Amino acid sequence: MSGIFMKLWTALRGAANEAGEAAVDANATRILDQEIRDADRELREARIALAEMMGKQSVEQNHLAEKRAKLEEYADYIRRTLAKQKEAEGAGRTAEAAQHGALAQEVAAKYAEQEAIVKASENVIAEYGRNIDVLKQKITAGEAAIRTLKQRADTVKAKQHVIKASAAVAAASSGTDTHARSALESLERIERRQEESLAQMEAANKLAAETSGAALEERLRKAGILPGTSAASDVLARFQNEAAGRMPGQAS
Amino acid sequence: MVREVWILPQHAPVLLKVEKLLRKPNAHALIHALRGVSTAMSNGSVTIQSLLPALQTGRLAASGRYTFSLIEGLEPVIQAVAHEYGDVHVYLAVTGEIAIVQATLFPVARVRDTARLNDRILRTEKLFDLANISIDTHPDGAEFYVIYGALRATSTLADIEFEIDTLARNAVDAAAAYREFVK
Repeated sequence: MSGIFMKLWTALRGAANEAGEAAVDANATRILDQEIRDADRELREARIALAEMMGKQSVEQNHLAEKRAKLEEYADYIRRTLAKQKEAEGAGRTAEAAQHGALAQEVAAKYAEQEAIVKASENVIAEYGRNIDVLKQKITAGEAAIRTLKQRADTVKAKQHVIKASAAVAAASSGTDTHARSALESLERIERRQEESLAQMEAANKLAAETSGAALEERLRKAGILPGTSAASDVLARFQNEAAGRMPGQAS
Repeated sequence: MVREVWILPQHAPVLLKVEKLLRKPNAHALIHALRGVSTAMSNGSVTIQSLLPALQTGRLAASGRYTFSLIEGLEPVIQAVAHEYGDVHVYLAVTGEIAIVQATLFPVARVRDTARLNDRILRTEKLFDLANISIDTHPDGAEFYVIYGALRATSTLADIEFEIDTLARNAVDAAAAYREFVK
């Protein structure tokens, strides 16, 4: 868990312990906004510190250049003095040689001192460099943390807008057909519709079966296949049979 | 110049046409046309105000499967009614970088055993693609199980429509899946 999330979580847990789990919802936005403000302030401070640190490093780098030039100057004196000493020795001017030797000694002491100053300055610059790296990392991490926090805050806020809107719809039109419809109600609606359309389908099938059955019966009756039907030819045959001495209504 | 390009297979004929045009030394017409495309693709964050007319003339509304309207208020929210899914209400809000698409499942008060339901939800929520389930509290204190998806506010209209349609289906499926816990 990142440090910034840990902080947020602790605050949310505190709110839940104080006022119940539902308080998490109500407090999330406030806590997130506070976290964003804190992170923003830390980021601003880190940016100021970075600018200061880079300024100091730049100034120190200028000083170092001067200090190195001074060191080079001493080195030049030492070389020239030693050369003169050698030249005087070669020419047998012992006293002059000793004089140059003493001077070289004196400048060498100065050089050693200056060398220590240069070294110290280099150390300071390196230290500034390390601080700059740390601050840059802190800024990058801070920027990422703020992005994450803002996304979380946006999510919580967008959800709250949705909650308010659906509550408003529910309140404005409760009882009417247009009230905020939950998925469970929609599911029941879908099932009701399915039942209705199933019932309709059954009724339609039944009707279709009945009508097609009736039509068939009618055709069979006309063809004289179904019992109880009297075709004109049957009737005539019965009377012809009667005339021939048989009982009417008797089948031939 | 030979270059490898990655496209969806169904777009191959379009690519072929573009390729032929780009082989000609003078492709001003195409470059001009593409300028419009790149403007459309670099769409900034959507807002509720820009999104509503887009949704009302979009794919979901044109097919008659959805009706979109604005719930006015301090923070306007779009209401989508999914006719195909029992007219379930799906709400869409945009803040900063995030867009939320959400539907109410059922009130917490109607759940017989919330501990068992929560356990079931934690184990099965993964079945509902692109969606999370949470408990939200209304201003009057009433609590609801809700299903929602979050996406970037820079998403395309097609992505947002896909999320709305997926969420409406998921909402009804989730209501069916968890109904046994509701009295």
